[in-house]
Amino acid sequence: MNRFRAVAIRAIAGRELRSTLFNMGIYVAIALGLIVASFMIYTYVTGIMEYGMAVMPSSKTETRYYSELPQSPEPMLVPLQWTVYIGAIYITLSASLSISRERDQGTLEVLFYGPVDSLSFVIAKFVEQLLSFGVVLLFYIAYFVVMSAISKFALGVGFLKMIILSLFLAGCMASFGMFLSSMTRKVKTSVILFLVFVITFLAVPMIHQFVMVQYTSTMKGAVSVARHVTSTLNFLVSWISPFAYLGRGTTAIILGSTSELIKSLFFSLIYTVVFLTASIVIFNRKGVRR
Amino acid sequence: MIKTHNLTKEFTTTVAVKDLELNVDNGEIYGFLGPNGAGKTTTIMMLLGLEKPTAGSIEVFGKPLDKNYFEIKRKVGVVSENQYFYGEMTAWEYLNFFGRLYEVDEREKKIKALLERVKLYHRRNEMLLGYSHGMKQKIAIARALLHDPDLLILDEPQNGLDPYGIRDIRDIIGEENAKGRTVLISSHILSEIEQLCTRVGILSKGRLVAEGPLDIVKTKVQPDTTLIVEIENLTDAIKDKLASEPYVKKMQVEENKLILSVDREGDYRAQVARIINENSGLVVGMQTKTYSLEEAFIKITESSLESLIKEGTA
Repeated sequence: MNRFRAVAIRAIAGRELRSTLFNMGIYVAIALGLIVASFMIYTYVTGIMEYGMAVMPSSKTETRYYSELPQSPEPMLVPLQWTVYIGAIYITLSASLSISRERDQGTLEVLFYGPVDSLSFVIAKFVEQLLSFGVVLLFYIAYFVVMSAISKFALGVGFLKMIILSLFLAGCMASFGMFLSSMTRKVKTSVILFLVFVITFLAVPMIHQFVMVQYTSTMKGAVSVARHVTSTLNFLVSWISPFAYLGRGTTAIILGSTSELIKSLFFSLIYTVVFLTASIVIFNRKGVRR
Repeated sequence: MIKTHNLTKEFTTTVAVKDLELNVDNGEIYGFLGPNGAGKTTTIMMLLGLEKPTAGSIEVFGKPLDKNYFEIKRKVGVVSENQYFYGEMTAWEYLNFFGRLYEVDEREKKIKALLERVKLYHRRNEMLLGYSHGMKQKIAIARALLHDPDLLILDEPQNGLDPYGIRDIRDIIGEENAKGRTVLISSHILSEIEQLCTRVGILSKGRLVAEGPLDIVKTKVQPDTTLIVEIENLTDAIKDKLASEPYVKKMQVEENKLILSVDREGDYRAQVARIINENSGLVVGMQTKTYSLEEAFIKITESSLESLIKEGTA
């Protein structure tokens, strides 16, 4: 990479990270994740206390138990998955504002008076999002380590795999958010786009599941059409939605399938590259002026 | 220093810049003028690589901009009329950030010196959000000078400033030019351009309609000098005698005043006075009137585009 580009990326990413750390948003996301995780862990602990069940997680038993148990034998996995979801949603929101906010404020134009080009700018923003997620993740890891010590719920290989997966997910989320941001000139438009997409990504699989379990003896035709439509939408969402990549990866971890996990990480990487490239192309077309 | 060839920028419905041949020489202060919408800012944006030209080429420091983007941008300092800042940063942090971006050596020392120069060192730890318009413009100047650029591009740098602010920025531009920096300045404050610039280019409807040293541009607008002579006892003999002089191109009479258009090349005041005295008149007052840059600017930009291209482009 061009040395000047690397300098620009370092300077911009550093400034952005500092700005993020001095803002409330990241801490709200961390707090929210921890509250959700606490609630889930509390539910587990209460269940164990009430029913006298002992949890003895072991990576070797994951596959065998998964088919028999309603949840993973690593009880911290699901709370971690939810905290990662929350952290990732924060990153998507933050990324979806990252370019449009600067364009809206005019600071983008001033920045580009200097030795900055669209590639260095988009990569810098992306790096900053990953670093921010890293900070969020550090809080989460510290929290789970402490909770593990208190609750005696062990943190196994699945936990480690989930942490790695979440970094790839953050890449997907950040690149998708930046893709949205590169298309807009106003912060308001970015927020609306973000909400529309997140709601769509979360709602489509739920609607699809709902439609699939409908009884079909009456209104057969309508249900059939609905099933066809939601199946198509669900298929599209499963490739476009960054959440779907976390879902696939989590399933692979819970099933103990390393090959599926690697495949999931690979697809996440492809997804990130595609959306980052698209962000740069759109950014170039939109320009830096307000 | 800057050289454009057939530079053209077309938007969907308009042609912002057409076949622009701009030449800014090393070490000069070049005034880039034009009415609103003439294409000045679009040109500046293209010179900075922020707008892609539809056609034509740009060379800065003798190198094509598109192939030497980073190298060129690291040697250019820019101030625009738009004051966009990271409001949550202090002046010190802001300059420090740009110092990192440009990899400025002895960054802190330079930032301190620049803040002292723009008289804002004592407010270095205040958020830029609370800065006044004039203070922000000074910080923008400091940002543009931080990396010791060889070329300064200033787009309306004195817009909205009070007379003190205008003077401060004029002084800084003059000092920087004295150090050898080339300056391209676009401004509506033509009196400032007149004081600062060695050469000007006037853009109208996306075309460069006049370019050259200030005096030559004015000459193109007003080839003659106007002499206004106030005379006691203005007789027909005086009028006839002056009208027959070869250097008098045109003569108008207004009460006891004669308005003479004389050849710009010479100074004919003594000859005119002598003729008046020899014909029993008495010169009460005499003044020479030349076009100011503002008058020249208005005349040039109001004239028909086609004729100006023929006669005005240097």
